[in-house]
Amino acid sequence: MQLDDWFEHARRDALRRGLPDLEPLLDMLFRATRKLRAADWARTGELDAAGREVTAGDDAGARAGNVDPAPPRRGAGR
Amino acid sequence: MIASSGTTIADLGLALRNGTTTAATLVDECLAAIAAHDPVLNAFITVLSDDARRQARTLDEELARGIDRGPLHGIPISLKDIIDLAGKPTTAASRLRTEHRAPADAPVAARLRAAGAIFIGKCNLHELAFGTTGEESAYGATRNPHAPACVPGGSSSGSAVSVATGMALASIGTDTGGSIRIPASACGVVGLKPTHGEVSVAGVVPLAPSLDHVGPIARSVGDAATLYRIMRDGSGDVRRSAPANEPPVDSRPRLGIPRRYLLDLLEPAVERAFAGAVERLERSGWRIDDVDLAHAADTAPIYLHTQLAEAADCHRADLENRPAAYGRSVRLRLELGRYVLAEDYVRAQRGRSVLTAEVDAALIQRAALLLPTLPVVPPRIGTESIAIGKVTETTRALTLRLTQLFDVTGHPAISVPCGTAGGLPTGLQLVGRRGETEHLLALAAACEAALGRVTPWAYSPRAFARSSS
Repeated sequence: MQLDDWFEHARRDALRRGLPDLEPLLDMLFRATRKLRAADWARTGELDAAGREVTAGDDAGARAGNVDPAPPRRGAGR
Repeated sequence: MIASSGTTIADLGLALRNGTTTAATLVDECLAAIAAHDPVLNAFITVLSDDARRQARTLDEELARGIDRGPLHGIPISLKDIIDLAGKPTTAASRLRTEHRAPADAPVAARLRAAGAIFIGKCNLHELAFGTTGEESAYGATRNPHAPACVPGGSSSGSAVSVATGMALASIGTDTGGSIRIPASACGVVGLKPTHGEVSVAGVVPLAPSLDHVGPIARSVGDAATLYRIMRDGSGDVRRSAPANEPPVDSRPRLGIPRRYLLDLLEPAVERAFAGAVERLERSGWRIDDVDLAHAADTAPIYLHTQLAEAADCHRADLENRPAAYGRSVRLRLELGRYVLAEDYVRAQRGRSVLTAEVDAALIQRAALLLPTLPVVPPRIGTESIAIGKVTETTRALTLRLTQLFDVTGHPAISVPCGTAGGLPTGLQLVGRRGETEHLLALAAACEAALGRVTPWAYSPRAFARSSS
């Protein structure tokens, strides 16, 4: 799942469940997940756009869109 | 005898056997210390006065008849209230568990009981062991005995305070991100996290099973070793515990300081105390160089995705059925774990393998890694974030920064007092090879000797009275 999509789903779900105080924590988790996915070793084993396996240190994962470099979207009230 | 000096279990073992003291006297001393100091420090949730006195009478009678259970015979210790003791509540400092009664001793408690330990009480902790300060507890915050306005570190907060103040001779804690080593450092005592999996976690309320460890908090490395051996295999006898092929500690051991991420964000007082300890070790002939853990900066997201997901899984039923029973902050963090994606949990496990291999590699030519336990002086209660230079981090992130890596990788790690920073205790952390906790303990004992055993608990009732008034 793309990180921006995950964040919006999670934020809406937390509000639906009456947990608005989760939002800053979700934002913190968003940043941590972005860092996790950006690590060179985190891409090992994934397939790049041409279907080749990415190895550690290869930046093909980012090229294939597996790493989400975008900052969190700032929704209303955030 | 207990409250007036840095007396260790080893010292008291001699006194018990030569008739200078009795187990009943030691229990009375601990209970007197609890009565004097716990109203302010709040280290205990349950004090087991009657049980402890009964155990002491039995153990004194045994010694008089020549029955000697070994080094813990007649020694009063405390347990973090997350470890089952038969017939007693295991509250985990949470309103979730007020009605709980343990059906049996946890295996670690059973081994300690069989070895003659006396359980003086069950200690306060950060609720459900999910926190590093000891502030959030259904039974109120625990306070640092050296400065009651400050946190004692957590989550095994009451355990460390009980040992530092003579309310117990030692304690058993748990460590998922640093919860033994952090309070040990903040309170000026020794805290050991063994290699992951060495000591049973059965009968212990889980937080994140792949990260959870059980280990001792004590006044000396030797005492910690005694408790570790008994918890691990039921024997405190080093002759039975040390593998025959265990290499002896080099008289000039080589240690590595992991620079960059793990050393680049220290409060100046901690930096000075650490540099002073390194200098003393080098003067003693220790060979200390720098070592690079290439992906250490990835530790926090790896830990977070592992710990949050596993904790949410442990608590899924109560989060659904009894959410109001949690403290607000702990509930929110548990709820956060329900949003960790499976793919990110799997990535985090891949990262653990990378970090484990890097720490293993750093230890091929070195006896241990050496770093501070905490990057900051214990903050005042209620401090949510701390600025170091131009960087501001949450108190939680900073207090976990130097310890969580070794829960992630499972390497044994120990915090040894190394003086004071900003007037409060600070600890030196040694990290050994996986599966070689005994070797780490031998090295830590040599370190303790080289540093000159820093008063394992600089606490004194007089100083406490001044600082709390």
